[in-house]
Amino acid sequence: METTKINAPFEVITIKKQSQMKEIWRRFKKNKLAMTGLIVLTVMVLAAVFAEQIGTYETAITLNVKNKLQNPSWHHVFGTDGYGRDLFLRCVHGGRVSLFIGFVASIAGMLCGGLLGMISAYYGNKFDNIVMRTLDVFSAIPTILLALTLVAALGQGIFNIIVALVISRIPAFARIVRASTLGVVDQEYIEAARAGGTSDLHIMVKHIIPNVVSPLIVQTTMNVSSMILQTASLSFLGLGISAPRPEWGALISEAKEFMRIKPFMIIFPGLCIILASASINLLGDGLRDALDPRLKS
Amino acid sequence: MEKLQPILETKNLKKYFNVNAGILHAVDDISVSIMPRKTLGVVGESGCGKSTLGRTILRLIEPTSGEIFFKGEKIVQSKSARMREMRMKMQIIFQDPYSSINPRMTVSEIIAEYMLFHKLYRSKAEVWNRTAQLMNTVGLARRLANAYPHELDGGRRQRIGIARALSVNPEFIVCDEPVSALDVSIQAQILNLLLELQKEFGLTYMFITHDLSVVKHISDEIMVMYLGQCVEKAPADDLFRNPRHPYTKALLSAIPVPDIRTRDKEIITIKGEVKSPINPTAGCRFAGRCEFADNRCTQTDVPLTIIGQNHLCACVRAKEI
Amino acid sequence: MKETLLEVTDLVVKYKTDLETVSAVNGISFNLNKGETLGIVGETGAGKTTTALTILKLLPERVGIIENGRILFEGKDLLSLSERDMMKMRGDKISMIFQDPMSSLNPVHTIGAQIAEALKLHNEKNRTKEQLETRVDEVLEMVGIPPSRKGDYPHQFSGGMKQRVVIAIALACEPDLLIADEPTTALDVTIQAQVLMLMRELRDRLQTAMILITHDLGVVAQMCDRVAVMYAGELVETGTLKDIFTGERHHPYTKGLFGSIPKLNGESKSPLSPIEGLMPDPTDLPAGCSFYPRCPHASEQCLLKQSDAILSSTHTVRCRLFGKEA
Repeated sequence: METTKINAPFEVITIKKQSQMKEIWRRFKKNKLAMTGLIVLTVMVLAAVFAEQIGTYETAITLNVKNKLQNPSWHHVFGTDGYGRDLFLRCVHGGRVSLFIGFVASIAGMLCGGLLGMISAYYGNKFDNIVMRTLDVFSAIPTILLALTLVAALGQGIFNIIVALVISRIPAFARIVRASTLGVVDQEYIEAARAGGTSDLHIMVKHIIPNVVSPLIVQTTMNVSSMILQTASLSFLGLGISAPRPEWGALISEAKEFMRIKPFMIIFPGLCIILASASINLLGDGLRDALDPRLKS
Repeated sequence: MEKLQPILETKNLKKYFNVNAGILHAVDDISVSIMPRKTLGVVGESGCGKSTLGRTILRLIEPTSGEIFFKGEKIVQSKSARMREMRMKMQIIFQDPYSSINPRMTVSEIIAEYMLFHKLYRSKAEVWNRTAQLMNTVGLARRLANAYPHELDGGRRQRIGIARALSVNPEFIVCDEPVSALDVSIQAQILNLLLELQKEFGLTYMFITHDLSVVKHISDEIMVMYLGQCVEKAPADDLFRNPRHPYTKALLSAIPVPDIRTRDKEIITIKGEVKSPINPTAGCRFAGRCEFADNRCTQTDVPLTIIGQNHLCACVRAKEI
Repeated sequence: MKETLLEVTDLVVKYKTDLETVSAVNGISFNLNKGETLGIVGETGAGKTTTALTILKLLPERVGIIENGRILFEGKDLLSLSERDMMKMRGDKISMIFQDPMSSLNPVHTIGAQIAEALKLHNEKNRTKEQLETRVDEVLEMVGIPPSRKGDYPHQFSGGMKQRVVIAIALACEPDLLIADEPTTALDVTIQAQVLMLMRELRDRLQTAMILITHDLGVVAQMCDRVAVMYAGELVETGTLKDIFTGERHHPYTKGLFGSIPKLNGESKSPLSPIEGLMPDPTDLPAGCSFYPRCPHASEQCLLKQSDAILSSTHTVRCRLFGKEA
């Protein structure tokens, strides 16, 4: 008899947790635009992941001057570039780089900035002051300029670009998380947890993170699109991904000289960027509405 | 017979805050002692420092100076590890049943939190068992174990807060306005619950409130605070029958009594309003609003003096008025 | 013979959203004579504030729906008045004091300007600017604020003083009816006493009829002539102050409310006799008497719709226990 009593609440708890996720998914599904965003993004991510199966990286970078500057056809859906490489394949492989950088930089920025913001707000006072003023200095520098400087200093390459982008994003994330944490640390349940003799780490993990995570998820998602745009800008300026590796921004940069005669060369990678960032933003909007506790009832 | 030791004692406890305008004397020289199984009621208007006092005693706010003894042990200097152990003996119930529980946790998770953190039981199953038992004790239906707080009303949420406080088997509980946010019929339910729990588990309460009829109902002894200081302290019945401090008198007279016979009684209204205790000057802090004030009141601080059995009052004219 | 000022008959108000329908007020009727004070007592969600907002026609648009009923003010049906005519009534003939003095004042205007604004809106006497200013001074003096402070902003006042300003605005045009929704709940007890004294004095001086909404029976006892006890959108008991506060024959809910209050002269630490259970869900009210799930005297008859039992010319109780005398 004891055992049934013991086990009962535990099982039901897990069920309830699942149903909460289900509830969020149900609300998300109702949003047509967000679903479109999710589908488009999923297709693009899948294409990036299975890029090697669509056409090898070798093919995407091998020069084939005979075929240069061909218009889109059944054989080359997006046409070919100035060196005769298939533009579709280059866009697919470029997406691999762009999306990878976008997601990794956003998540890393969210983790670093978020953690900094949370700790800063939680301990407050002097520590908070030092952290936030330092970040103010960083955010006074235009993002692209900061990234440019960092890439110039650290050198080109995917890793360095990510580092540059993460650093430029930390202040924004820190500020968002700090603001929402400040709203949470004032709540009496934080004081209650302290009165219960729990540790700071426990309070942050159990009480603060769950209450600041939804705006953060939304922000991170939205941020992916701006990361993609930044990467593209950097590459366009010649400081991003170096040839022959394709990347959406780099593709546009390469297409500059043929812009008048073969506009499709600039249109297709441009479309990729627009599609990716638009679908991510729609997804983010949908997530925000689905996660907003005010709509729950 | 062995002399009973107070479960909680403070000596000249002070908490000052630095604010832009100066130093705010939130708790100024408070000495109390509470005997086991008794309730000390702390009354005062908003801004008198009563909540700060409760939180300072639990060291949720560090005191500026003074001593706190819990069962004879000094806890002001206690290391954080020792303090964490002490926290299990000293608990708090909060005023706002909405902000005092995490909206993202279920009822059973909230109640089990401290037990899981301190690993009070060998297995999780035992913790859930104890949670169910606690829910029973405070009168929460078992089917609510997996409900989220937003599905519940204020009274039930307050019961969750009480169950969470009880989960670590405390001996002393600071009740910080636990019924102020509740409707009268629910308020009575919670007050009855607190009284039952006190009897059943031999709890000691420090009951902070602005509601005089509530404090009268639940306390053995009452302390009246004004701008961070204790102005009068006496056994509950004695205080209500024989208030000596002009502020206490005004407070008691201001309560709207639900009895039509008292409708036309003279209410002692005190002029002006509570000032904030920033950089207070010497003398009685109530003097500016007091109709009996004379120059003795504003020259030097007025100490608490014994004016009757267990009856303390900080008024130079306590005997005359 | 006293003149009737306000007559509310069979008022039914619902809040309708896509998700649910909240039955806030379910068929209440009462009247108010000139110069009289009616206390409406009840707990959170009983429909007290909704009743007040309905009289002023300030229910949230589209959501708050008046399904039935009639509100006669000086013989005029308020519900059939146009929004334009209603605006003339508000502030001039009927005004309201809200619970929270902090949010009912505009932080960016001086209090003098806010009082003058109320006067200008209903400037039938065509007062000049100077006359308006003198009136502002008068009104401030009336509520015990030195007129020299009229250039101050709300944040420079304490809670009690702000509530005085709110009262000054409400009474500036000397309305016939003042609706006060928990006017002192946010205030400390000594300040509450000051504000209640002020309201009582002004009411007597200006001969204003008042509807005082509160959950505090103590406030009712000190302020009102008649009392209506509200529960789940219904008036379960109405009567004079004496009818409600004395005698044995009451609605079980009224008894429960009195039993829930700790008595100042009672024994310390003795258990109270609260009402068990919770307010019913206003989206799903029980059939018949809405109090029966919590009522110690509930029986099968309570499942039927209850009608008012008339105990005396002033005292009615909506409970089957008194049905025989009806």
